[in-house]
Amino acid sequence: MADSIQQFIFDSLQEMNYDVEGISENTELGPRGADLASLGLAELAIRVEDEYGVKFDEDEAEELADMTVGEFCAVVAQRLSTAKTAAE
Amino acid sequence: MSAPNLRAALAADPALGAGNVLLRLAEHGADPDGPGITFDVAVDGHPAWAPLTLGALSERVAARAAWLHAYGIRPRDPVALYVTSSADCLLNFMAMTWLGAIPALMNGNMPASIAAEYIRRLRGVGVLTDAAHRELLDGTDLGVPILADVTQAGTGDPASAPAHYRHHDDDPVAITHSSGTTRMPAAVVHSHASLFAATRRVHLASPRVSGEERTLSVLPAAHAAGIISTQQALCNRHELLFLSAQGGRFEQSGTTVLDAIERWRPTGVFGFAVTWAELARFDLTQRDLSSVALWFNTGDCAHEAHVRRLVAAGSHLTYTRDGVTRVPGSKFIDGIGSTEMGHSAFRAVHRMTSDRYGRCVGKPYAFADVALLDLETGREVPDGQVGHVGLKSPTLAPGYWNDSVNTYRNRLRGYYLTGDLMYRDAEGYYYHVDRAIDSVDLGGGNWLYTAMSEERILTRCPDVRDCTVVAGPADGRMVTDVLLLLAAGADPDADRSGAIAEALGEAAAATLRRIVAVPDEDIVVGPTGKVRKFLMRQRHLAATAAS
Repeated sequence: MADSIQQFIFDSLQEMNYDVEGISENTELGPRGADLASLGLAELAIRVEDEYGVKFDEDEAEELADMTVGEFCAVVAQRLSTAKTAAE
Repeated sequence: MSAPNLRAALAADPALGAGNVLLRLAEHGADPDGPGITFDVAVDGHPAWAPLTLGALSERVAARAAWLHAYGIRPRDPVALYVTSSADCLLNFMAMTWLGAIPALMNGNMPASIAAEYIRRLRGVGVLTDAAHRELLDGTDLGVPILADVTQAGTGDPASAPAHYRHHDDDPVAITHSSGTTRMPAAVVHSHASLFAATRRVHLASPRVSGEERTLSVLPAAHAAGIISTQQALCNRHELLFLSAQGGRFEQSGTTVLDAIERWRPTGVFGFAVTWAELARFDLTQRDLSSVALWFNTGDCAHEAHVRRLVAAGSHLTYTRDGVTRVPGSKFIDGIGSTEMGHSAFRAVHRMTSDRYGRCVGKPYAFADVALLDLETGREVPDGQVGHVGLKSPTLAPGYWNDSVNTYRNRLRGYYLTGDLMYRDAEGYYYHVDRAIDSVDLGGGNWLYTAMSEERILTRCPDVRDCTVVAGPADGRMVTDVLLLLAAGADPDADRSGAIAEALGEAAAATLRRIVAVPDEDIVVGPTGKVRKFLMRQRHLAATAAS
């Protein structure tokens, strides 16, 4: 699951016109890495919500800047799993 | 180098600190034609309100460094700076750090008698003043000479400035002072690393903004927050307009700030709580605040009643499924902090849609290690119980200048005691109830928390613009008086006793002696607009006892 989320993030960044060359799971989304702007993080959050149904509010989206791609994937996977458990 | 890459390079630069921002910006290749600072006063013939580029700013600072060096100022020389304009304050701060000297920045509102004693206690090498403050100090024994009029420093030849001092992390780069709400303002020394720690960890680590960022700072330039807001704008390569003296006399500063917003169109407005209280005098819907997406508060925690009005104003960009769109409303970041803390340690975010108030100060920044302590045992108090705030943080000032007694008195088990009382809820949010010195023991385990009481009064009485709760012993018992500053048009004789008793809670309400609407001049404020509650308590109780 984590692999497919990661691939979705890479694809999304590419579609959002970010240069994904050199970006790995250890790359931070914020200024020390991919350097997504605040609205870029908000767009990524909405893309993830549309794909996986996992919601990030406006302020949470800004906090994604501190996360690596891998950490962000883990959060998405964890919220997905929590949502599934709750539904069962 | 592009601005985004520059931000990362600056954040990772171990040599960068509060003493050498201009130097390191230049060495990292920041565009000299990019933004410097815009002032509301003329600078060496450069007109007020006209932006100084980074290059022009550096040149004006170099002129002052050259002049001060020629005058004999050398590394480690403490020099007091007692001026009104933000330009005089910030340009000379940067010039003195260029030389490795230690600028002691003084709020221009500090009364002359206190200023003279403050300067004597600094044991520095001299004072730089503007004409108005020189007149105030005339004939006073300062223990050091007044070097010159501050305008003379700008006449130096930038080309003859010596090489920039190379700072170590521990080097002192500024002495600023507390607001002096209870006593002689405390002189606090900041280091090259401590005063820059939050800029590195927070302001250069946050996602870059989409579009142009224009910051209007209404913070007092002579305080830690003034320096930090300047350096974060410079390092982020944002436009910055720095108003002098927090917009001037407090009761008129609201108009100045609103006029500045309409004229300069900032995206962010930075201020102390007094600014938001002053803006509460106005119907903000009648002014064009649409450029403002962010209000940033530091110092005291802001009041809900003031914040709600601000977040309903302004507008911000947001991303929706239809793309980027501008929507009404703004964000208010509340960051309780103090001179000694070196930056706010907490961050609460309010929007039109948010509803977490009650003096919630949010959660600590990642860099801050906060403990709520029981001073008797030194142990942390459990969730829900009020404790004294202890802080470990890279932003912490190393101590008080020439005052080891107080430097060590405020430390406990490795924590700096901020003097605040807070409790934490089960979700990890912190709530500020009062300054420890303002809280009153009512006996039987009951306490009057004045700041929390004021918050509750303001939310329950919408026609009260601001208020102050003073309590103390009188006639052999504890009494509480509530002083109200009413909104324009409010009925001074309206019966608010029920709402105020409810706001105080049962134990404190039992001590309520009187509720009185007072004119602004009855509220005693310090140089930054903070209410001097300790002094007010003494004066008010003495006056009422005498009558």
